[in-house]
Amino acid sequence: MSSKEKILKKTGEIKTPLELEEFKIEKEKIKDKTDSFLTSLKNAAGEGYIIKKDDINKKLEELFGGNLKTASVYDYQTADINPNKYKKATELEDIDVAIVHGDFAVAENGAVWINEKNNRHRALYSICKHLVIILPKDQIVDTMIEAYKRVNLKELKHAVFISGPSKTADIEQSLVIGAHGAKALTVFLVEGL
Amino acid sequence: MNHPKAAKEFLKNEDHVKWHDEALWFVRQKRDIAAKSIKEWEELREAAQKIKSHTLSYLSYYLNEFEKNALSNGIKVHWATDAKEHNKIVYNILKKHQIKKVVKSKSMLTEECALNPYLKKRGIEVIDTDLGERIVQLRDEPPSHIVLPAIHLKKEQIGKTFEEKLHTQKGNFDPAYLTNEARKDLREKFLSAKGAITGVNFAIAEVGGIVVCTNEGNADLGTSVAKVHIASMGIEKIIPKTEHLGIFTRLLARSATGQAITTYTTHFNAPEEGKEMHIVIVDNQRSDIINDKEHKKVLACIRCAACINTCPIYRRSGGYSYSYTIAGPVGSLLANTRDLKKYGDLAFASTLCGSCTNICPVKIDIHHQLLAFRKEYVKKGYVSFKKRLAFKIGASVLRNAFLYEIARKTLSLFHPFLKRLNLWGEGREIPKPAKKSFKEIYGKRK
Amino acid sequence: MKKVALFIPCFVDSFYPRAAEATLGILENLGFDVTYPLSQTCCGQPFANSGEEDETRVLASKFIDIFSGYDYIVSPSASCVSMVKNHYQEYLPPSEKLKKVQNSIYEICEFLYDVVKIKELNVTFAHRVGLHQSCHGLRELELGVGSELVKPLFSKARYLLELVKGIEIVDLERPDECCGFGGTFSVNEPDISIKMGKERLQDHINAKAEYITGFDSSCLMHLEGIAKYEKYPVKIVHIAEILSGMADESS
Repeated sequence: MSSKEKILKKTGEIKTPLELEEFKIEKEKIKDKTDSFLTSLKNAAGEGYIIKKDDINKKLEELFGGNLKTASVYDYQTADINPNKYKKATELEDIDVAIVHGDFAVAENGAVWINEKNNRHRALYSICKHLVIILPKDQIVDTMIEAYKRVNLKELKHAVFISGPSKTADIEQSLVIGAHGAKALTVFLVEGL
Repeated sequence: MNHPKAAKEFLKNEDHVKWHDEALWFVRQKRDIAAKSIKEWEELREAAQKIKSHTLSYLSYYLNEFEKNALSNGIKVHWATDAKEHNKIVYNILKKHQIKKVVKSKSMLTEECALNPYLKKRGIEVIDTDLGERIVQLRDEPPSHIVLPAIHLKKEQIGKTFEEKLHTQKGNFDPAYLTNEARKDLREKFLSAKGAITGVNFAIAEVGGIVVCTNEGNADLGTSVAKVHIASMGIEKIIPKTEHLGIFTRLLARSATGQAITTYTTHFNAPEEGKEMHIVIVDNQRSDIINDKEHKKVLACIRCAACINTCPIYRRSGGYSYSYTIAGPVGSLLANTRDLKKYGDLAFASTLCGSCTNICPVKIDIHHQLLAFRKEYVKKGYVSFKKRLAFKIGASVLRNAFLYEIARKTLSLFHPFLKRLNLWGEGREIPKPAKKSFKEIYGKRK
Repeated sequence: MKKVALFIPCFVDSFYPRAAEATLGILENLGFDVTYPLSQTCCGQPFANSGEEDETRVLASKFIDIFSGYDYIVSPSASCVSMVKNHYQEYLPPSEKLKKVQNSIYEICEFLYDVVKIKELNVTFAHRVGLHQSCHGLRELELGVGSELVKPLFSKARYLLELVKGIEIVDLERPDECCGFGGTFSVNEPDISIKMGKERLQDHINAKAEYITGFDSSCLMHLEGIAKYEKYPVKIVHIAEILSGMADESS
């Protein structure tokens, strides 16, 4: 008997489950989703801006102009590196800023759903020092319940909710921003996208 | 060492106990603020309990479905009946790829299986990348808490370890400085490790993919650089549908640290192009309790550690006072499901206050379970004869009115002397019987 | 007229008869016909908590025999009431007697709030008082709402205390942390038990409580034992003594 068979024998015969009820949990709708998201993002040590579509490059230049090595698979003026050109993820180590796109955001916790089909290296969002996420301002849901009803997970190979930069409080419960992933995170909520 | 003895040792350093207790009480308070910001919190708990209960009733079906979907996504799936088999499977995968160095993100399952020493013996270096776990690894200690592995250490102790092992500035104990030094040291390891091992927070049956929740980004970085990703999961990590994650992800981080969500909630559904992803599904005695009506609920645990943080005994005795990998309320339950004879005494390291039961996001009635284990422990005859004799004597005195009176009068007469004997512990006086018992007072009224 | 039986646990009978007297006084003042069945002894809780099933069963069986003939059973001991109400079915087979006893047993605060629906008390206790919310009474009998729960905080015991004239209820740092008694825990793990008790007492002392009160004499006995050893400037009194006015006479 294989180990799988041994285990399944112990966990019982395979029988089709009875339908599990749908959970209708009453909750208040969030009145100002944008405000709620920006507050939650701040609590998670991230920074958020409301930007007009035509001002994206201007804002990127303002915040991340100068000598910062910026990578993006998209055509942003400050992005001088196309990460898809690299063969190995380790070649992204020197990147200062990475600009990615988000699908939607979650108001209750400042998280953004990222599933970059166009991006070759998953390492992009965690290897960089500063992550910038750009998404449409009108794509914000209330809570994770709405979020998970919205994602089509079966179709995706990899996706992630990111809320703020990496952090840890493992040393005497002292919160330190910047652990192994990005040390800082900025979200652009874009009007007119 | 048994819990009372270990606790006594821990309590000797009063300053340290105060600090340890307050640090964890602070986490409890953060949890309270986060939970109370959600009016529908209790309904979420109810839903989580129902989902877990349902899943455990049909576990074979969901495990089978999970494997089928994972395989069709290009993930390699392995099954391990016990810890030894798990370790062997992991080793063989690494050996096949000639991997000599792996980075590992937090996985209590790998701790349970003692994976690190197993691999080390066979020439594979395992680097724990969660900062708390890295700290205890450098100190050659086990984690004392499942979510906050280094909670028992002060920054001075951590700083001194870093001075020695990472050559950091002497006397610099600033947490931000130390964290950054760890980042630099581990970044080098992330970039050179060909293998990455992670745990699994949730495994979704209808997707055949897994979810890993971290704050540090170590699981993300490690797996996205390495060629091979191995994810170890207990059979109980399965949940049926994607939409169920909506409930669990609202409960998990708030219960664990008081955050609305962890920085990263990562979905691994298939390997990256040109890489391999393996999932090792582990039983290791979990199936033993699946058919146990009373204790089956223990498998619902999502390892948030809220019960540990709220436990007044854990806070004042520390993780190392418990003889099992996982300490505190849920640890005692898990230990008892494995080996009642060896760990049954842990069920007595509790006042059964019930705070853990109230705080558990999946509504495991932890303190009732501990009580049930006590019954089983006694029934199986594991309690010492001496202890049971004391109970038998106590019971007979209580039931016999004459003996009861004798006991009362003796205690009353000798109280001034007896109270100095520290019969009830050092620091607490034994009570003195009242001049007249209520029975006597009531009797006199007639 | 409703027949009420008084259930007084053995240690209250022996060490804290005032709590029993106070409970009796409250009930009689409300006009109830109260009986104190003299053959009672123990509800079996200490044996249950130590896993001694057989001993528990014998005591539980005796308990329901003694108390099944009454409309209400009232006790000043919350953990004992919880044992009977919430756990007796684990030790005894279903029966009419068991059902009746479980449905008619109340702790005194529960009884005053739920059954009598008391709206005012004509007693005074002009002191600063700390309320110790014993775990079983709080979480098992729901005399209040555990601070872990996301529910409106409400305490039946506190509601009753607030009816007392002149009383000032202090606010604690940790309103419902366990005192460390835990029955046999206090004997098996004396060091943590005492440590927890000391910290509970300190919380009340820091809040400038003159008296500490509660609905479980077992917790109060443990706290008093430590307070006496440490010579802490705080007095311990059962809530029934305050609600009956007995505490005022002697304060």
